[in-house]
Amino acid sequence: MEYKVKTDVFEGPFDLLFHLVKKAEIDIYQVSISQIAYQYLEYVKKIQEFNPEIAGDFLVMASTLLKLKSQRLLPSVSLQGEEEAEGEGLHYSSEEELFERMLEYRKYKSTAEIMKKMEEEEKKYFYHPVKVEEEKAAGNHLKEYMGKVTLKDLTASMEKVMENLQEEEHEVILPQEISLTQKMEEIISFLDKKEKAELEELLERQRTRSSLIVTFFALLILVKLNKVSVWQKYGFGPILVTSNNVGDNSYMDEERWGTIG
Amino acid sequence: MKKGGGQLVKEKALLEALFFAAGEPVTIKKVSEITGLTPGEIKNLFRELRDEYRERNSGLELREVAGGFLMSTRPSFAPYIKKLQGERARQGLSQAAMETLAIIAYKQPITRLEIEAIRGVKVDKVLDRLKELNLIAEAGRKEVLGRPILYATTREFLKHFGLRDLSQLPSLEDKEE
Repeated sequence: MEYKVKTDVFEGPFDLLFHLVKKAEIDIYQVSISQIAYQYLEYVKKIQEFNPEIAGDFLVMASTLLKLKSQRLLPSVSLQGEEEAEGEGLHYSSEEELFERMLEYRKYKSTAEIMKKMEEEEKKYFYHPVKVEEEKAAGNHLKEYMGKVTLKDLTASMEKVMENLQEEEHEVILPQEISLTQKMEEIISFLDKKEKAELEELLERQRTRSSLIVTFFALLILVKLNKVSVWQKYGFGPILVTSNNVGDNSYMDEERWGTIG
Repeated sequence: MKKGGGQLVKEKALLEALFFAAGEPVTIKKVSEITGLTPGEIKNLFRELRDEYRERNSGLELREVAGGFLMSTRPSFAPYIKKLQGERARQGLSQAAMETLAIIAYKQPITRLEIEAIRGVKVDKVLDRLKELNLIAEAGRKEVLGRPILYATTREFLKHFGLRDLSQLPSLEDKEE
């Protein structure tokens, strides 16, 4: 086995595949999948250890290689048509197709190398710095700063915020609590009196934001329980709420609906 | 309609001032709007100015980049200017970004899935980065199922690589080392 430390970084499955084909010093059109598949899997194992996140991209190719290999071993068994799911691409029905795709990728990879050199050359030109660009630079500075914030920093500050929040919550005590059941009852009795009410009318009676929310929530529950109906006479018209006049009150169960504070 | 020599010199100096102050590629159209000169006159003046810079080995250089005229320092002086600026190196693109950009440049407009099919890896993060750098932009949607977003390169892309237009991209061919 190799004794030197592997430092090659591959940009993707095609990149690795090409590397292996080249290393095997075989004509690209004569290379057999079997030769390559084993080495490919060896490498994928390594990636999985160090960088499981990107291993997924390589694994799809590994399975494709194995599929093609098995096709070759059992030429009479046709695996084609079995799963031609064109989900995420990367399914090749033949070695030729696979290698063609690999060569296509290769074209762009070498072009990218040329472009890298062009980029290097272009960096040697300096322009008169305009004011606008100074602003841009300030933006970049901020980005750099942002870049130094780690996930740990973020979670730490979030935890801090949450701690403070909990402390404050202790101070805001129970009187704010609004019973959902109570609101449901309120709606029903309101409707009993009026038979029909506009939704806005119903909600307007609520004084605080939380009682408004609870009322709305209570209304939804009543609709779900088929106790009231909500409807409109015409598009964009006022939303009307009517009671379905079902006498059964067993749903008014404090324990079941609880309170929202 | 022949113009006097004095007038020509003045116009050339005006263009020089514009190119200097712009600090980025200025299109003929814009120069024409500002100066009232015709595109033909501007082209001629630009060429004269560019040649003058070369003849007297100026530290400045005029080029046609990203569909406009661009004044910059001569590349051979780059090491000195870097010292002046305190080695604040402009970061180049990563290999992943460069490969993705190459695919978009040659196959634009192209969808994310089409790029991924060529690269064999996911490119969503790379695309975000390239968009952030303004090297690519969304260019409508492909009229297929799901109407995926199409991507294309921008003028900033041309500037980044010092290209006049897309036809100046290196030819795409198989290169076997």
